[in-house]
Amino acid sequence: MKLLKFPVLFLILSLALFASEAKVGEAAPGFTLKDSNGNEHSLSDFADKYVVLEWINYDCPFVKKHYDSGNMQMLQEKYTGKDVVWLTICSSVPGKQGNFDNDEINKRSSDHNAKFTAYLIDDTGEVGKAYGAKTTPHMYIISPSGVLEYAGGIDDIPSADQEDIAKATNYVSKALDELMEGKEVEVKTSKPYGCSVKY
Amino acid sequence: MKKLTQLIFLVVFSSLILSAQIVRTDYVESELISEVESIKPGEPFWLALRLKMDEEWHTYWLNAGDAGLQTKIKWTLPEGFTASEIHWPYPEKIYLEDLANFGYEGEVFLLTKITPPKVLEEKEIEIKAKASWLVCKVECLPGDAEYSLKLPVKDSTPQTIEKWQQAFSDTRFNLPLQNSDWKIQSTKNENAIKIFLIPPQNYSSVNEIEFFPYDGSIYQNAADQNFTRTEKGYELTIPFDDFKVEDPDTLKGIFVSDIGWRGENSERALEVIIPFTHLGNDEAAKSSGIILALVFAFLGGIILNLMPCVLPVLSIKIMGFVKQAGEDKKRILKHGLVFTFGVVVSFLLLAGILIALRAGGQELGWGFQLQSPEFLIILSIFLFLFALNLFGVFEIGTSLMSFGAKSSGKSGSFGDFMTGVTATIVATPCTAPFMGTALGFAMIQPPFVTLLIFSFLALGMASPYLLLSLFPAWLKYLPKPGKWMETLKQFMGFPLVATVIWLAWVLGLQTGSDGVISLLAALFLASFGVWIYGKWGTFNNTKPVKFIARVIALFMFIGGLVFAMNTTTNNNLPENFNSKNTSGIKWEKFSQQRLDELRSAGIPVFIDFTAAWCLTCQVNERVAINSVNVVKMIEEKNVIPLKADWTSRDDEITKALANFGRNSVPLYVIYAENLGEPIILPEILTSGIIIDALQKIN
Repeated sequence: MKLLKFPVLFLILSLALFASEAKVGEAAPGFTLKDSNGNEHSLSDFADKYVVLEWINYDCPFVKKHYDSGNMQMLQEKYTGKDVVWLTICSSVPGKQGNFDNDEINKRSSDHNAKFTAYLIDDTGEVGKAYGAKTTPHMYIISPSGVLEYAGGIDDIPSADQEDIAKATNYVSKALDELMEGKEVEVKTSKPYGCSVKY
Repeated sequence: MKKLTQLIFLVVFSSLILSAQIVRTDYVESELISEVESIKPGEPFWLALRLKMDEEWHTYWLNAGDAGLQTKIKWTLPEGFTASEIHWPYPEKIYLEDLANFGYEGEVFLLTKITPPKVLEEKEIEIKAKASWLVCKVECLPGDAEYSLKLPVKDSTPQTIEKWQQAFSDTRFNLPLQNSDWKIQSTKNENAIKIFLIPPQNYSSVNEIEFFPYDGSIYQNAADQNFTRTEKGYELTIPFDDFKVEDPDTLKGIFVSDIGWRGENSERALEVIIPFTHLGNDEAAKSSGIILALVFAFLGGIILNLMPCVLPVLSIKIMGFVKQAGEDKKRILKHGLVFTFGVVVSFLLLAGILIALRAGGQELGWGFQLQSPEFLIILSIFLFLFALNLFGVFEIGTSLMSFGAKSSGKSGSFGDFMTGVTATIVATPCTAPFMGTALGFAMIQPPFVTLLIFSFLALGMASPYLLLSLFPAWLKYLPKPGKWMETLKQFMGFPLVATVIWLAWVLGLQTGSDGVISLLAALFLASFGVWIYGKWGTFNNTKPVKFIARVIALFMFIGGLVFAMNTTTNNNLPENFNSKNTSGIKWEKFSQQRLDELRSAGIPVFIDFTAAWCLTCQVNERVAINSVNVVKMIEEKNVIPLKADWTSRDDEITKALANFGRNSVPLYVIYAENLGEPIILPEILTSGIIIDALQKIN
């Protein structure tokens, strides 16, 4: 077992254990990040609004599944149209997959015709770790009162195959719709699927 | 001519089916392979998706962990065929910074069992599959490939394809076991679960146990599982994921241990599906393995006294006591202590030799002495002379008096010691089968513990005499000394002669009739020698006569021994043995390969791990295994009986025994597809036990 061969590595890793601050049903951790145009955004700027957090890595096949199919842009357009703030966050650290300079980000975003509110750069991985973001995509919904309402996958069919999108139940739109109708969110957590976040 | 066409057809055909369609995609080489060359209607067979990842790249287990995706196979099967889910070998934990994934690096074989219909018209069938996976280093790429496999349909039992035999066998070994003798419990609180793992009493030390959950989003996959050793076993603590998708009521997943779940070097993965229990009276955790093993060893030692090998020697020892009844208490105690010392020393010596030989890399088990023809010859001569001594053919000089317990009570300590040694040597053929599990346990312990267990076995065996020496007053309950003792002594010679016959039979199986003839010649010379010794070598003859008689006796004794040793070679004739005991059951010779073949074909198997020198085995075979009902049942259930004959050294069988955590025979195992785990029958069999077990086969 590899594990036995690298007890030291194991020890170090276990010390650096994943301890996210975010919990569903509790206040979402605050943050301030720069977007791909150099503007700062804080979570607190969006009090009184629903906020969606989407973890992204344009080179990840699972992200491609939802962007190449137009699924992600459709969601972004639909809900930003309903006054939802959609923050796309990239936690790829410099040198790792998905970490691009601003020009490249903006080029790719416009190529994809992305409709998010802002593309935030978290190249220290701090915010990602605070939210316990594991995969790209990994989705979060925060209520106008700042409470984390949903954390998990974008839908219920973990695959990189675009054809599965039509068959899947989209947890993000389901939860947003429920919240806006004043209902309790039925599925508050689900298993996120995708590539690992490149911390 | 017809043969030639057949041959050409066969060559062309087999090259067709064997030509692997290796598909190369990004970072992965893959193919669909079959374990068998042909299939038989109604008989399930196994296919494997072979994935070979480039260096540093990995694909995923059924639960990919924090990220990633499990590999999937979509089958397109001929009508009437069904495919099982993927049987996943246990994965490794692959860390990516703070995240952990479960998957495979290098090469992996994902097994699927295909069941064909009972009736098949076609001469050949085609199976198609589409596999899809995610292959990752740090970055990830989805991959997929399609395969097609043509397999001929034959009525004969399918042959395995040699090229992949090892791979299938290795992979099967890495599949999680469905159950084990371990006791596992788990409790949970808000933040974490705690798992208690308690090994069976006879278990060697485990250095690492890791839990791989079936669900990737309940537990923190990258967390240290806090493996700790406790008094009773081991513990793991696993924190829940902050976003756990559900509050589980059942622990589902596999445990992977560094040494295995059925003893050292056994299967390393174990599937566990257990509901969480409430903390408190963890009933399961009460035993402390070694102490219990010591208690059993002691009890086993006491019971050994009743075994047919030991009884003659010990009845003589009892008579010694009877004679001693009048003696001074201190002397009696000394006799008892020295005898005990003799037993302990010889047991430890035997155990020590065994440990040393095993440390030297030899595949040996308890009872190994009896696998050596030389040992059998020496033991036979020894016992035969002992019998002659009891018959009164000769007496041994004063210094060895108590050997035959003819002593007037003034015997030396050496005599007591030697009686202890004799008792042990004679007892070994009986210990091996009788103490199977305990000795198997003893052998996998650190040497210190092994020796401790053997000491307790020895103490148990000597304890009745030690007690009598401590409380000589009890001796008055034994009959008074008298003429009956002489009669009993002579009578006890006969069990010894019978034991010699048995040993000669064992020798015959190892060496053929030549060895037995050599032994008989040696017995003849030795008995002639002691007769001369008894007649002219004792003190009522003149000195020169005595001297010459003794020289002749010694010469004949040694000559016979040397002759027998030199003319005996271990010829290994297990076939002979197999055919010998086949009054009812049509045994096949055991081999791991044959077993794997039968198991993969889903044919039920009964394995008899036995040896000619194992008395219990012989008794079991006669009274239980070869009974009419069992023979009938084995035929009815289409069970293939395999005999693993350990009479002579056989590394393959030693390894097979080790797979069951055993180190000795007898061992009876039943494999059947519908049972999942093999059934292990008790060491003492009745036909009822076997029939009950066989009835569980579908």
